[in-house]
Amino acid sequence: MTDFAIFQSALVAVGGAAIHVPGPAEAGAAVLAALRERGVTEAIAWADPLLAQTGLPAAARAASITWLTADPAVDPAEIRAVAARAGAGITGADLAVAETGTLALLSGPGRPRSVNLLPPLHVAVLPLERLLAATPDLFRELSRLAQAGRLRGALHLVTGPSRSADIEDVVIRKMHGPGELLVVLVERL
Amino acid sequence: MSVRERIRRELAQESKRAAIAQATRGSYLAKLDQWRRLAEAGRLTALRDWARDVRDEALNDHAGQLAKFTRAVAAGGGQVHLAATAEAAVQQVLAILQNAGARRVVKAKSMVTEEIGLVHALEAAGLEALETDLGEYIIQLAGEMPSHITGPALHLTRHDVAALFSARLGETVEPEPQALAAVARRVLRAKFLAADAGITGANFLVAETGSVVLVTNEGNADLTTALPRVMITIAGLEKLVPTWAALEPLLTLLPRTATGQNMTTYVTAIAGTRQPGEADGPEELHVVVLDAGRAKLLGTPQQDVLRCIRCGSCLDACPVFRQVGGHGYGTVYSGPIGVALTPLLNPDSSGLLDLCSLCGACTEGCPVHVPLHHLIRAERAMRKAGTGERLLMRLWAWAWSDPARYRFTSRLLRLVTRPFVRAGHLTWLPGPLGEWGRGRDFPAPAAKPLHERWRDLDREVEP
Repeated sequence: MTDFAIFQSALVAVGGAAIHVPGPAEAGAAVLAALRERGVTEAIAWADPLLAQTGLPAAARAASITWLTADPAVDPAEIRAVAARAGAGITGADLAVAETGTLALLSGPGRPRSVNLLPPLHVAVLPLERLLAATPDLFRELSRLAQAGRLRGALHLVTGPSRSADIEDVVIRKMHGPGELLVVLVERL
Repeated sequence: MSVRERIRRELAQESKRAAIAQATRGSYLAKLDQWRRLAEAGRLTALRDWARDVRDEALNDHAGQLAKFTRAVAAGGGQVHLAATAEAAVQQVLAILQNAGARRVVKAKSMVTEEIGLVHALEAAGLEALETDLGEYIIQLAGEMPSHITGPALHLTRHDVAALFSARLGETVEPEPQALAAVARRVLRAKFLAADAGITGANFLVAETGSVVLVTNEGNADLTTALPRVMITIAGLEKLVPTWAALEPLLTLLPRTATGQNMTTYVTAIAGTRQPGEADGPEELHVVVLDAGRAKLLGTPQQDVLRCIRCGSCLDACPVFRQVGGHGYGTVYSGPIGVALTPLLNPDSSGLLDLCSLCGACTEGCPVHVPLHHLIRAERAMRKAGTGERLLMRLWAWAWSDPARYRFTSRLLRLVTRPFVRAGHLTWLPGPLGEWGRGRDFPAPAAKPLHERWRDLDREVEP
């Protein structure tokens, strides 16, 4: 089994979904298809170098989807208001772990936390080369980032959509975070 | 209410007992499944030993780790406060909120805020303080205490919750978990967006980076730390871990043991305030590190209780907890960890030590090797017995440490108990033994005691 296949089955097991695509253009098409399928009319995205290559803002606007790229020049109040009402939040991701289906997202300028937390659909687009095999690899990388002083702000490790089992131990989705999570892994940049 | 009265009250509630039995069994089986898989991969023993070692490393060098954590938080624009007592911690939080002009507070799940009674104190000060974990929100609306460390509302059914939401939120909700959760999401989302301050506990505090690490499935800790302008974390001083590398065994074992998940949905680490250019995250960050009876355990044999990572698996394994549930204990921390920890933090609660049969199932299943039943036994030994009990034990020791006295008293016992023997058991026991015998069969003294049989046996084999 490839690392991607392991990642996909781990993520599906917790209620998420993963696909891999050959390049940034196909990633853009996949994200757009996911938004249209769900009737999303407004989306907010990280200012991420890979997302910038997907042609997404233009393609989304052509499909009548209002699109905000949360670059540092945008007023934080506007980012929060849009994230609170948008149907989808599109982010990059710093790492992914095949064994558990986990994503690692570091906050920063152009990478607001609200984008992956508030909208009901979270789509993460990242290069396939950032996919690690197992949990020990994740902690080796996090340890390296910690020593380099790069864990400032927020680190979110996300494994599937938001859930709860607080009523009768029955698992439900979409508690406080997104109810759906789609991960798009891009093979060639 | 005495321990005994509380237990009778809990045992009389059939549907609550059934809910607790089902929930504890479910998470116990899920944990066993995960542990079996780790064991088959040859990793379980090494992970548990490693987890214990990193907990001990932090506890043995507590002062050093705390200093390192404090410097790292300050470097990220936050501030660490030390609170010697629960009252000091509450006052500290109130002062921070007042200075920041914060009136609306959202809270993520935290046992330590239960321990210090924070929400009641905030409400008494006229602030709005809302629990956002679904289970905690439910019991806050119901005005109850958590019944389990990881599942605070596990004792309530979907019908209880639907009735509660209808009564308190003024809308009729179908008694379906997903529908109930949707209502809670809508109500609490508005509160998250309006909150001035977010209060969290901590699963771990990483000294290396000054990170507050929070583990949830719902994402409520993420919203609590991302949206309000003030963030306050309250954590017991035992939550420190030295490095990110040291988190590996802990974050590998915690979700697998607590809920049977490979990984919790959200693991969030907050290091410092909103960084330049960031659109969200707290502008002000405070970490209140609580002593409240913990520091005096450092360097003693009881220090081992501070290894606990609050996974709740000792509750699920405990034959006492599975019968009486968290409310039978009447304390914030219930189950074996509650019995071992609470009397160490507060000597007035040593009555809890009786809620244990010393079976050891808790110790066997603890991911970080807290020697739970050994600690409980040692604490029982430190407890002072009453004068009557001490006199009785001395008399007993005197009578049975001499063969002649032993034979005489056992013959005497056989005679005086004869009228109360039915089918090989005593039907009546005197005084406090009567209470002990309510749920147990006390065998009648043998018609021919071992001493006499032994003598006869001697004659048979050596004629």
